[in-house]
Amino acid sequence: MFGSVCRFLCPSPAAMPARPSGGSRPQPEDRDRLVSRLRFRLGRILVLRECLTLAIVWIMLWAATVVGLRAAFRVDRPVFLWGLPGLALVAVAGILLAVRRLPSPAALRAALDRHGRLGGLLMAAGDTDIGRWSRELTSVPEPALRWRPGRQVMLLAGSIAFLLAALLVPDRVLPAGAKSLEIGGEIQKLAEKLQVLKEEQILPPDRVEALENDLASIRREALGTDPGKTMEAIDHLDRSFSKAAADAAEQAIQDTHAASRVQELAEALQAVQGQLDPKQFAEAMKEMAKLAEQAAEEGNLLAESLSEELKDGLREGELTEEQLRALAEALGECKACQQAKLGKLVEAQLIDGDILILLTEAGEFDPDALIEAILQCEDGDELAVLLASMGLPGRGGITRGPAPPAAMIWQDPVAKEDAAFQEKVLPPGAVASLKESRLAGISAGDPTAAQPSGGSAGGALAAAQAGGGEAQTQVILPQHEKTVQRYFTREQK
Amino acid sequence: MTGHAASPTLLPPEELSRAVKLAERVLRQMDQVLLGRSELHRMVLAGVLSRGHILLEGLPGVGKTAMIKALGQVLRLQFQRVQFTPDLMPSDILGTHILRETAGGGREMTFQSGPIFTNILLADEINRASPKTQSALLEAMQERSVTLLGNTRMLPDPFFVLASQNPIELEGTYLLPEAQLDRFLFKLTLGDVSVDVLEGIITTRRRGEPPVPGEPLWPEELARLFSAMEQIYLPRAVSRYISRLVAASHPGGEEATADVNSYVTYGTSPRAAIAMAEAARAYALLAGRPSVGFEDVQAVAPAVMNHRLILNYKARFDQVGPLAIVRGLLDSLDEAGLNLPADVQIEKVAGEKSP
Repeated sequence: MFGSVCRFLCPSPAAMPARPSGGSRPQPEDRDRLVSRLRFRLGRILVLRECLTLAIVWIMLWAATVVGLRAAFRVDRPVFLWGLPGLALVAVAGILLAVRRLPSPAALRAALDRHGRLGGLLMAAGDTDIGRWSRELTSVPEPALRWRPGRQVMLLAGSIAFLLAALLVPDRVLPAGAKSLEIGGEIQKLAEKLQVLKEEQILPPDRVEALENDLASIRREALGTDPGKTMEAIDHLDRSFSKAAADAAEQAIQDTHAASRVQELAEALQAVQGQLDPKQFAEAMKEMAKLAEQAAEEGNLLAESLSEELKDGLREGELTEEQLRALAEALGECKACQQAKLGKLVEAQLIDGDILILLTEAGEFDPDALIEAILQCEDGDELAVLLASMGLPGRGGITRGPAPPAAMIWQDPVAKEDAAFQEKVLPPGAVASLKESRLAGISAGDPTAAQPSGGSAGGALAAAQAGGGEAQTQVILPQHEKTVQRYFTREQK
Repeated sequence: MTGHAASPTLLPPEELSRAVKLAERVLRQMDQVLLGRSELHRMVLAGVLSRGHILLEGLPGVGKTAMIKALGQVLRLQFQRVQFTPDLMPSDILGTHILRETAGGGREMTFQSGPIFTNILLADEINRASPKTQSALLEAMQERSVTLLGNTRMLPDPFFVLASQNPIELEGTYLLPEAQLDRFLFKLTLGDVSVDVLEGIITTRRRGEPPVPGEPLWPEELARLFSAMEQIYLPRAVSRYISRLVAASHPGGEEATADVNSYVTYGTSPRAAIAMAEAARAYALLAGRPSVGFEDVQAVAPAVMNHRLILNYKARFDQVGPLAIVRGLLDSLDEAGLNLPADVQIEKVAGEKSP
């Protein structure tokens, strides 16, 4: 393959078409044609050589640019196809250089004369009419052109390999740049979560603004050289969002639970309105008002969903049947709002989907059991106890929740046996923060003996060691302690 | 313009053939006189045809004087020999005015010509004369005339100075000044001869006496040789090559070699370029060619340039001679001036013969 290319570029004169013969006396045109043919062949070689040389330079520059841009800016590969049109420019430049380098016809005539050992006759023929001496030029040997492109071909192969490697090397192999950490996806997800928290008013506006600034700061300061720090900051924000959402979900569950209790009581009172003693009914209404007020205080949503007339009725403990129905509907709407709110949080992956089940369970109530219990109450006191227990968990029945938690006290002794610290590997960001710690001070202690810095050369201090500052660590025996103490306390007197 | 004639014509083949036969006759007779010096004879004849002066350097007894004598005999030219000594005065060579009584009893200053008024002057051991006497030859060698007391007298035509010097026994000698050296076309060195040549000398020569040339040239034949020499064509590419060669002999020149830059203080003069062109013409004529080729320049370049290069002390320390530098120049310089890259070469096709 390579040999055939070389033969194509530098064909032997024997392989070329026969020169036209002008009979016994060659014409000057034949000699000129010979020189022109040699010049054309030489020009072809020079064009290819210059193009090859420039292509090597171009491809090396191209590959270096690819490596540089990919490493520094993570530029995509298709962008680098601009290098291909450059090869056309290289070809044009190669042709121009070859034309400039192409020897003149006179110089080639001289070269032909030299190689043919024509004694200047061919050169003279180019300058003047050589008359009968032209017979001596009947068979001017046409020299062969030899080009050894081995070095250029090797360099070209090397440069192409370099270019391919620069294009095909995976991004992860490339050195990370100072600003090359791509966290756009994570930041976008966090921004969406923050937007949900903002829309649902889970976070106050100033907190939302601060978190938005934090997100922008993380995106701006994301360093490829220390991705752990950035990722830790992202995780911290994500955890903050999730915690806020979890708190909001917990609050929603509690609100829903409280609303369910009120709704349960409202429906029960609505059902037993005619069957109870008016005095007992009024007491029951007051208890329900307390519950509703308590629920409204704990949950803003419930407070917003109740009308002023209802709130006044609840405050006075006198609600009509219509108002009781309206209260039940408002409480139902409140629960639906909580359901929608948590649905959005689940959709934003801020909370787990199982919380919706808990919310559903918290919203469930059984008014029939309460109606039965109310009707079974024999007097007003018993009814009051029943209604009062609705606001406290763990006071009767499986529908009233767990028992109240035990009070936390600190007087009991704590056993140290079998206790161990939990080993925890610090995240990279924490390690980096340790590196940035500053020396606050040095506690008092024995000075460290310094390395001897060389003794004196002569004189009275000959061979005396420099340095010092070493602590006197000699052990003082108990029988000498008093003496030593008296020695140091003597000056104080 | 390069100074060429408007429409120069090449010497016709038959005229060239006649001139070559004459030259071969001269060379053949010189070869008979001095055995084993064919190439030297060719160079000397080339120098004579170029109308140049030649400095011969060689040990005593190698045949310098014999060769010059033979040349005078073969060319049938007047020959004078001057043995240069430290007390030799310029007037001993050029001539002097003497006071002479006239036939009428009066007295007048008449010019008594010196031995320089000849065709071939053999300046034997020229480096033994004082610089004053050596300088007396400057005008004669360049202008081919002698000026004394304001009167300029032309020397016979042709006029050649063939000087010899001994490279040993340098005590009491005076090195030739550069201006004088530059006036010599060639500096030729006579080396040792082979055993066969020595045997031939001993067996064919009684007491070493060379035979008398049998077919000396007639003046018109010599004139024909000079005329043919005038018509040898110097192509422009060859002129360019000579110019580049001379320019490259200067340190710091565009095509100067590393040796030139290291060892040469001063390169050759434009007179060297003229001398090289003339000598190459003569060499082409002796080779039977109507035009000068690169090979003719390469043949005469060492003899033309070796005494014109002024080397520095570094060359002396490194024992680098001018001939090595000239050969380095000839090897490095591309004759045609193609300036091709090193990996692109023009090569002769195997099997083809030169015309």
